[in-house]
Amino acid sequence: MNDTLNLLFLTDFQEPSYRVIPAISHFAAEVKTSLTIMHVYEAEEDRRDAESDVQSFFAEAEHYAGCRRIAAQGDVNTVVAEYCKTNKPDLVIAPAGQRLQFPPLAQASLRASLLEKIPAPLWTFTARVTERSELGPIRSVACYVDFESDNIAHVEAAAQLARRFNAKLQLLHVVPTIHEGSLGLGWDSDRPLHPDVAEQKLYDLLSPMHRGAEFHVGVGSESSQLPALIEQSRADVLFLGEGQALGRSLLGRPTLRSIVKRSPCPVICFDGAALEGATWNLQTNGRVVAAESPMRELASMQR
Amino acid sequence: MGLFVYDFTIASLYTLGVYQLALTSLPLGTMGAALSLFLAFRNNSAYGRWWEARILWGSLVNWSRSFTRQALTFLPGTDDDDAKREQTVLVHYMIGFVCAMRCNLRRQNPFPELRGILGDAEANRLLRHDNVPSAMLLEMGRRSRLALERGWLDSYLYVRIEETLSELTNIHGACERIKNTPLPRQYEYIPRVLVGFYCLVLPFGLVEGMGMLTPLASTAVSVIFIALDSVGRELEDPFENTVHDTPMTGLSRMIEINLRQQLNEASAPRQVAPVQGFVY
Repeated sequence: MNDTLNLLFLTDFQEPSYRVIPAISHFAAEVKTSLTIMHVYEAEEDRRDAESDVQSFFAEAEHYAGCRRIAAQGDVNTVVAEYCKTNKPDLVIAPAGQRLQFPPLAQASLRASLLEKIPAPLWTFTARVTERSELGPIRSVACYVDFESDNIAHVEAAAQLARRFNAKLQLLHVVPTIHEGSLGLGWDSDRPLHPDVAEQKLYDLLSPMHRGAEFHVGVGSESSQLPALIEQSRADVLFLGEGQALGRSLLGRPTLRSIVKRSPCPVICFDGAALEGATWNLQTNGRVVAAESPMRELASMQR
Repeated sequence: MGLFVYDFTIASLYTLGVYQLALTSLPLGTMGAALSLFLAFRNNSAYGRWWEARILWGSLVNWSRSFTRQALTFLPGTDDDDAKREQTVLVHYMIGFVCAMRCNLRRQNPFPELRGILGDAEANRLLRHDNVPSAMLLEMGRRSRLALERGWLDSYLYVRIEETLSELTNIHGACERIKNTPLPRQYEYIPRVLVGFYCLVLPFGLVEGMGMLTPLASTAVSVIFIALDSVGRELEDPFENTVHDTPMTGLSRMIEINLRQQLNEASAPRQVAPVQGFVY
């Protein structure tokens, strides 16, 4: 039985990595954690410099229980995937890189590649979030539910985090605009077509797990409504599930969907390979138990 | 890059015959001089805040050493085990106070560190306080009072320790003043708007005299003004989790090393080295 949440903090020592340290400190204060700070350097870099940098980065974490530091050489995706296979972190922290230049057009997203390969949820911070000066404690947890997938691991995790942090839990859903073509929408999908039905489904989904949540339902397209719902909910963290965080670019490479890139708050993604890994089981007394696969039938949760 | 393309476009249009684009350079020269003065005043104020923050943390280094020396020399350390334990607790509180102050200014949660420095029992006693550094100073004052009542200190020594705690309180308050009182909003907004406007108008004033060399000159001058504006903005808040901050992590680690060595503890942490050239 494991009573510690293992965090893996990936850093390139750019400014966004420093900006997310307050968020990690608030997290570590509420949940018993074991923090590993990892820097992956390329062959051209000096090993001693990389090791010195990783030892000095976030130096105050030396007082945190169970803090480790790793400097590893190689391809980031390969090294991190290998580490996650053997050490099985519960949460990987990867802020967005610093925007110093125009992004290369054909460059694959590192965070998307990690999300696709590593069997752990990814906690990421967009440039919009890290350019704010301070990341405070988690007081409001939002979770997007689209009813497209039966996997609700992200909802369970959001509910557990809200209970553990004594935070407000808010479920978000976007109902499509109704028009003549909407008649065909209900045939191959369980998505509700009316805000009242959506709220009832959200309530039915959540009631076995959590009480006292708020529901926010928007009408329109996901790309326009969801950012507004997140702002309305004043969320400090947003949980995304299967198919919500990871997409494909025109060249077929993994990419983060726009909701992750445009989110006004940090995002925890339960997508890609994270769906096959263990999930958290945060007890209200602070003990964490590694659970089995998160695959659950939606119907069984509603029984 | 975008500015260069913009300047190049104006120069090209003028060369192709759109002569109406040319403006007289007299108002631009005057505006540039006034803008320079404005930026200089703003940058002076920003630098003043940055330097004051550094001076305060330098004072914190000195007063933390003074407090430790007082704790180790005023309290009887050799004859009384309880007093020796109390010395250790007071010095650990001093280390914890520095960590708590750094976390308070960076809006980090201090408790993961305080549990490592003070232990769970002492750290839990501070949980109910919003201002943890202040609560720690209060606890250090209470312990000094107890030392007086137990006969470990006389009144004179107690007053000296109390003066040290007052100095630490003043340093803490001054840092909070810098953190919680930003420069007036006009100092941040108006220079940015004026610099942007000046960069946009500058090529129109230069194009008649410089022709196709306008992009080079205009971009160079614009970059100078943008850099002046940017430097001021980076410096004005020295506790904002950026690499331009007062290097509080390095300073608090140095304090911890010094104090633990004065306590003769075997396990002093290592000094913080610059990370990619920056001491954070």
